[in-house]
Amino acid sequence: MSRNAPQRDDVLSEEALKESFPEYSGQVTASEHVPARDADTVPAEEVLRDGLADHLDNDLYRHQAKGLASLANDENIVVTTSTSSGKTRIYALQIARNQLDNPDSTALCIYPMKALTRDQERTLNDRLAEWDVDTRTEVYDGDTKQGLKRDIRSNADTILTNPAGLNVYLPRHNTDSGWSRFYNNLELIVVDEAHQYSGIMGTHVAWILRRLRRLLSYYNADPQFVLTTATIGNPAEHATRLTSEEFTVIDEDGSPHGKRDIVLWKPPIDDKALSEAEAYNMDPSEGGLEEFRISTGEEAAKVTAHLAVNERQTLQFCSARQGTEIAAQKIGGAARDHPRNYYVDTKAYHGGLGKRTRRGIEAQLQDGVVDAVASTNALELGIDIGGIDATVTSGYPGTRQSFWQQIGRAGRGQTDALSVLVGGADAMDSYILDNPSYLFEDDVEDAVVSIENEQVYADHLCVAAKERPLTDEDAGILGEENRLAEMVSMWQEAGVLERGVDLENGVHYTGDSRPESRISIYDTSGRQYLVNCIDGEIDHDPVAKERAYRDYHKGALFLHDGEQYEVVEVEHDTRTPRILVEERGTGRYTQTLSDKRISNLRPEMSQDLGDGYTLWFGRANVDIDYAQYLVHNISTGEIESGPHPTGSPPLSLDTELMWVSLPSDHLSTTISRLDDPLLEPTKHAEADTGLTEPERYTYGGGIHAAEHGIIQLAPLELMIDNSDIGGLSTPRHQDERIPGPVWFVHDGIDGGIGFSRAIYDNFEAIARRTYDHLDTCDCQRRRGCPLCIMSEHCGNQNDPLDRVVGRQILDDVIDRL
Amino acid sequence: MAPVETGSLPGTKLPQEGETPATVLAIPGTVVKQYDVHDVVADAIEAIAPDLIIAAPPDSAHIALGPVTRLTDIPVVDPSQSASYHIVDELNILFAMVPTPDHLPPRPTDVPRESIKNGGLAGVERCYVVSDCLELTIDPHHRETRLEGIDEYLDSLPDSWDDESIVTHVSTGLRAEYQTRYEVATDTYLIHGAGPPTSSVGAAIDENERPLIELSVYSNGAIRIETHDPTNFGFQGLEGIGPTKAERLRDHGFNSRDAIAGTTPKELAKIRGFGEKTATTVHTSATAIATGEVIQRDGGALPNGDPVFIDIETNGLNGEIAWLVGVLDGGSEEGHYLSFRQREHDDQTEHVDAFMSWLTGVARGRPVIAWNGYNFDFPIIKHHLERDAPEWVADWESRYQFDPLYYATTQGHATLPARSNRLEAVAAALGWVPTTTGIDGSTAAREYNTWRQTTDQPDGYQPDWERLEAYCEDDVRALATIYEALQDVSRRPSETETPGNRIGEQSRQGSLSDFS
Repeated sequence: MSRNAPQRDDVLSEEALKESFPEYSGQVTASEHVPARDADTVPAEEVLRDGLADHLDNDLYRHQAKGLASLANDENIVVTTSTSSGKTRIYALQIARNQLDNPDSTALCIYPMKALTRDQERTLNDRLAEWDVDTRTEVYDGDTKQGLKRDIRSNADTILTNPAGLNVYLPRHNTDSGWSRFYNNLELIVVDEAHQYSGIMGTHVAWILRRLRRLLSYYNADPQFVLTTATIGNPAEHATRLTSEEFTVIDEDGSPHGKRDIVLWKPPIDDKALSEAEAYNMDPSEGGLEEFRISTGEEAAKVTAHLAVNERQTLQFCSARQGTEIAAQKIGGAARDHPRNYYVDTKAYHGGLGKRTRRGIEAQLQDGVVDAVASTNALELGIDIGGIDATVTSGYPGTRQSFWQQIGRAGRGQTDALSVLVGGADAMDSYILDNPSYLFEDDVEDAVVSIENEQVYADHLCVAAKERPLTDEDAGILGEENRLAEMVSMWQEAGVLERGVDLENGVHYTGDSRPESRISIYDTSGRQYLVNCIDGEIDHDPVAKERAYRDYHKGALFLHDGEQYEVVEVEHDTRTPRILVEERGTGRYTQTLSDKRISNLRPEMSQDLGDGYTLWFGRANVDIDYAQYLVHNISTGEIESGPHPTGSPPLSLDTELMWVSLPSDHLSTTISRLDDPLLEPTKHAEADTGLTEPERYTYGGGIHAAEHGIIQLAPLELMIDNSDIGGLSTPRHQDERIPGPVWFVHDGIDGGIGFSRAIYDNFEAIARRTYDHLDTCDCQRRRGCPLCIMSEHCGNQNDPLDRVVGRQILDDVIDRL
Repeated sequence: MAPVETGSLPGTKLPQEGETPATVLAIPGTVVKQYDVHDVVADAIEAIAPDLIIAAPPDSAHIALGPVTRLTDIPVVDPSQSASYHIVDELNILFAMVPTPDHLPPRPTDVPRESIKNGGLAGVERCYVVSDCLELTIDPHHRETRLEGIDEYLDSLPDSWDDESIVTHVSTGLRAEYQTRYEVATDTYLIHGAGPPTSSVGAAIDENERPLIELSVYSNGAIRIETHDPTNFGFQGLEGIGPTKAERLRDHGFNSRDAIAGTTPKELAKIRGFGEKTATTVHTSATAIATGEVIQRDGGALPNGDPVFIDIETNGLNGEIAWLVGVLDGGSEEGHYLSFRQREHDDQTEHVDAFMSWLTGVARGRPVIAWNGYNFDFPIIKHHLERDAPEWVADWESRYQFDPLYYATTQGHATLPARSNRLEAVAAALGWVPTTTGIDGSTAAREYNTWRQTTDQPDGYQPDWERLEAYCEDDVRALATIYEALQDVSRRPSETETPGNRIGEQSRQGSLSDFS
């Protein structure tokens, strides 16, 4: 790969990057220098028996040794060290140890994605063969050939599968031959990438694992658990919530790496465009100065091109808002424009590509053949790509754990590495660039998963009853005593569980056959919507009803995995509900408007802050009508057309929520303290919300801003997907228990998924961050900007919004926390 | 007020021995919307031969107006539209179909003669008030069920209609398998469902399949439910035929299954969308049903040796106790029936001991045959032995176990002559006639469970064991009938030892149960 080019620049450090970057204009806003780290090792013989230790060609990292020692001590472990720190080795060695002690022992490994399952099958088989352990490792899932399944069940020692598969295999434990042998001898359960199990899928997985554990006690098996997660704030708690077992945390990473510079990069203002606009005296637009900032995608491409042109293999992570294909083109274009004349070979990588194409790119990365790859977060996970020199992240990936996982891809062994985060155009990115300590602090987001959703619980209880009759010994693992008894009663009344018997004697399942087939891990009602592409392939997870109504209505335009799609038809009523999409590059996206009502409040917890301020958590009915949508231009964000009807039926949720209740006179006391002028009500707001007086309109904008702020910035503290939460704010609510203004944050999934509960539990931290951000946002505009309080999910078109009053309201609440 | 349970439900009790029930077919409006009425519904009516057809929600109006009434002389009523009455003389059963209970006259015997669709009214033994007023909602958030509409229903019910010894309240808004005794103050009401499964009740209910409801109604209040999948009927019931192909068959002038059976696969292959394979499959399927015979397809070999037919009764579809192992030694007509039944409520070993002794003694080496055995009988027996008589497990596992249902349908070696794959339906198509009525697997399970649950009580329930054993005997003879038909048509392998004949390999092949 030698070319007759001028000496390449040293670029893999902050200083070098600044010096070498063409027309550098101060984009670097912050940086972190992570020093090199040697491996912290322990000789294998200290931990493993000779028979095994001899086969290892290098020592164990300290965390691997610690993990194995804990396992030898009969503990469950959750390993949270970084990507490529050798987490797989820990459980591979444990499998080997178990096998050597007892050739009949078996192990079950669960992965969130099929691709990962097959990747790990290769890895495990290779390792165990290297170590001379005679054992059989097989994948058993929906893609496994029918004819092989019985053989695998009867003879495999280690079975790899995914949660949806396990859900349907468990009830067949006594009809499909082989499972009883497998469960009888089960000594190890591995749950890989366990931080991915949150939200509604996490709730389902938590119950599937409980059903598994409960079944295993019938088979007299009591296996150990190994969970691996990315770095999260609460590994032990998350592991316990998923499995209801106790865990030892293995987090001190002993794996080596070279010097690593991490740089935060803010796209500069396009001075040329700005001066043109000023010359033509154009009206300031909604976003203000921000509109003239060079887009994240353009800027990231320039950085990637610069690194690749200097012969550093670079991986660019693109957020879902940009196409990887588009990014690859931009990188190519930026390389051509680069002063150093050098051809850059670029590829795009995402989950929608065929398997062979992906393997090809992975191999090219490993072999150093490709110069730059633009990828989605698909390459964050453990798939082996060797090491690369640099990563460029285009737009904050949403969570710190995702960020660090991407960073972790840079660096080959002990060589230097560089990672650049190019800030995107939304509230979180803006917050991070202004507050870099957020990224580099020790604590990371907590993972959130809950088992409180009663619908999900009730369904899994039916399947558990089918697996084995329910008895009072199941209390604890299958729900706390009262919860179990009451839910069993309910199903008995409905005729779905055996009547006339109680838990002492065993309650049988008497409902329709194969209840497990009517559970969807992406949904609470079992009616998940499949997403199919009319004229091609789309690799899209099934979608819960709540999301389908909001984001996938007929006419919706969205980006997925680098491609633009339009929803052409939605089949709600058929046996398998479907969303039919077509690839269509329109340059537009859609935003759904909504009417929302919250009623039938059932408080469960509260914090009385005094003076009429109260924080609440509980349940309520949330009725949402996603009746209309608007069409926006992707580049400018402007509304091009609408409102159009969505055709979505109204949604009626019974779910969890938190709310902040303010004193009854808060409107007047706040307005009276306001130094800035009142806002004038817009025509739209008058029609939409009925706020016609300036005082009510302004104050309404304030609590709306507070509501948005909390929702936008909650992911800074918690690993929650904020498209699964929603909000509502109002100066007056009809429930008599609410004296004055109030804003709600609710789970967007029927039955609840623990997100608003987590916000309630962590409210102070989130509120403080929100206040800081509203206070210091660069826009300093009254109505805010997309970087602070404007939200693309707002059902009221971001009107009214008042950053100043919002800040005041938050300040009042924080003062009393 | 929540429904209350006291004792077993009368709807589940055994009907009078030998009584032929009244048959009611409940058709939801959605079935008429979704399927070709002339094809599917007409055939369903012919197959089920009900005394009365009732329109059920959703969209019940679709039924009574037009399409279905024109198909048949059988009375078609929509209770939600108007009041009507139907008597089944032989059983003295009165059906009162009403939009709301206030349409009822003061007493059952006050039903005006002219409004009765047929015959007279001697004395009423049993009344079934049919409406769509009641629905069951399940609310996991509050962990309760609610019988919606019950308060208004009972308020408007004339006094004499509240006698639970005569009246059962049926609602097409309730799932057909659902029944309860509803208590208010001193009164008790029997409530039974007659409708398709409702949606949004969770994973335990399959809302999509089998919305056609067949109710067998007896004079003592017993009701049996059988649900049907519409695609089992008409042309869509033929193998390989969906709605499009069914329409094309009609367009080509075929208006009955017999007509299809009467032509040749070559003719059928001329129809657009019909390849050679489809044409043959359809033709075979139609012929089998039309002639009432099993038709052999490629491959497949039945086990060697004199078969042992078994059928077990359990403590439920998801049960783990085989309390009755019925065995047929010999042919369907003259074979000898043996009944291995649990006698003591706390001894689940003695009868399986006896069964295994017999199996390993007199019936040594002979293959064991059970309908749907791979999914049901064989694993249950295995687990029962593991739990209560583990010394027999090895013998059981080494025995050749054969499932003719799997052989015919999953492995595709034979086409069966009935619209469904249920044992009784297939055997009946081959000419088998049952001797018992009014009992099915769930009924037998309930009888057994009630016995076990009340054993400690002084007036503990005593099932009619002989009747249950007779039902079981019916089933093994039905099984033998089918097996003999398979034998008649299969290409018998030569008498030399074929692979799979040796005990070890036989058992491995015989325990195939690969459905996941």
